[in-house]
Amino acid sequence: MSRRLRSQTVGSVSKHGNQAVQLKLQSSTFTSNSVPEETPTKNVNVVMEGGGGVNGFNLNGINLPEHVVENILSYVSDQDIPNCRVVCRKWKHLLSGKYLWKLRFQKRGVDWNEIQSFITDRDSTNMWALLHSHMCHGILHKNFISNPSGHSVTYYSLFCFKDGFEGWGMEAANENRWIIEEQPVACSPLPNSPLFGRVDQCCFATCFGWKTFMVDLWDEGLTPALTKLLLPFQIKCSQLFSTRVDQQYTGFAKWNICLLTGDQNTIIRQLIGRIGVNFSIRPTGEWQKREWVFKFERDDLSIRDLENMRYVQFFHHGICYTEHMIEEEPHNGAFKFSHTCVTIEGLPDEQTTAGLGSIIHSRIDGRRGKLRSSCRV
Amino acid sequence: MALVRVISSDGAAFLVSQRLAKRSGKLKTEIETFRKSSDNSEAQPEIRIVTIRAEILRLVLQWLQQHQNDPVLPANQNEQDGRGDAEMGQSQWDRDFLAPMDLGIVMELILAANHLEVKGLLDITCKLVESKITGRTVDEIRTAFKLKSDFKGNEEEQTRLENRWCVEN
Repeated sequence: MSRRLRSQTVGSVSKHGNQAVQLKLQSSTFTSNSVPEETPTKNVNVVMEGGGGVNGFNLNGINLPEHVVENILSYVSDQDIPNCRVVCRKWKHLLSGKYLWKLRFQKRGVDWNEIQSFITDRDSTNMWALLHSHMCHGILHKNFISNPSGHSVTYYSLFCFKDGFEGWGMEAANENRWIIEEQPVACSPLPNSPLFGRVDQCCFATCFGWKTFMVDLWDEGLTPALTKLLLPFQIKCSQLFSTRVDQQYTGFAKWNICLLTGDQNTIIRQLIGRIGVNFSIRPTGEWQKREWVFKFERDDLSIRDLENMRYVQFFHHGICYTEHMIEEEPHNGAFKFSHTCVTIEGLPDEQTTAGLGSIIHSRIDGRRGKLRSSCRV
Repeated sequence: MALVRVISSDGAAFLVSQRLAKRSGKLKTEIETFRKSSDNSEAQPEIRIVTIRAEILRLVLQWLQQHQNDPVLPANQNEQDGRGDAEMGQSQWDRDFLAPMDLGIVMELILAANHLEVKGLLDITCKLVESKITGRTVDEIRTAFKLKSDFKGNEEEQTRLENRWCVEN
């Protein structure tokens, strides 16, 4: 087999000598149209002396086509990207481009479509920083709540121990007031829809307690500088909520989502929701989806908020009484929460059809301010 | 067995089976062009590669032969299914194959793989070049590839400042 590849060293003559021999061989065997498109006389010497050619494409004295340099840079690790940007202008230019990043994501099996909506019409010279952060932290397509429904204890226990409430904080008094139901008790089963790759069938349940999840956006790769590149965008929060149907009780469940400053002392924006149940209204036991958004446009207010914002806090609270309520009564898990989700989403940059929301935003959009005329508010 | 004669820029001829040669996109096209234009179906095609010298051509053919039973990767594979070659690990043979080469040879090999459209070889050689970037400082990278800084004014300083976006935390 290996003999098939046979090197015919046509004498140890000089380069030109060899050429002549070959040319003779060729003419004697073949008709002229068998000559390859490039004629032998166009003997391009690819090895440039003295490093000619375009700086950045000429590596170690050899001129490479642009797509080859891109191919090389597509393999560079995330940590080395900042250095590569400083090497020369061409590299910086390539690393700022959409195509190279597309290649990088594809080489890692990441779906480019999930990123697409974030990068159209945005500041293209700095887009690389967003894409870089997405590559390191997945910021553009992930649930910032790492434990959205309670880790299923039986599932994880075989491999490693994971606290079912991992990531959620609560005071000691609340610790046994929350449980994780592997399958929601006395209500509909959870929908099968996957949430960022997870198909959670479990939920958190309480009859009397609160818990909270604190997302550190900076740690998760979403720094203030990057959020400004993302504009306009929204932070979208959602969850599924249900109640048990086989008992009579009265009470309420509450949730509270806050954007907090770095010292966690100041609330920048917040949303509060509440649902009540009483003895006369029997709950249905169906899972209800609730969704909220914090919008950030290209206005001064949004930019100031983003500069201060570091945490997203998701707070759950439930209190209920049964007819014969005793203080230390067994857990009945009346209120159930699952699929807790915090994501970021790109918004269309140009508002062509002005809905109510876009009119309000365009009014305070000092940088663009095109849509004032269509304002009907 | 159908053979094809592949000739390097410096005139060395390699006799290769057509099956093997067709694993190079370029040679495949050339052979097909020859078939169409030739009256004699028995004639042995001869392909002159004017940009690749014998030493490099031999390496390409060697690599092709070692990988002759691999699935052929379409040149635009990445575009098609989003599943890259990241999971296609480099074989021990490839590592041994590349180990003795200096950067100059590797660069020529990259050019050759690109010209002959041998995607697998292009990828492993590009990856090898990338390894010269990993963990290096900017100056070390410039020295390794003989690159000049061509930033003007405070452009380089500005670029370094922008980099803080990704090292901020």
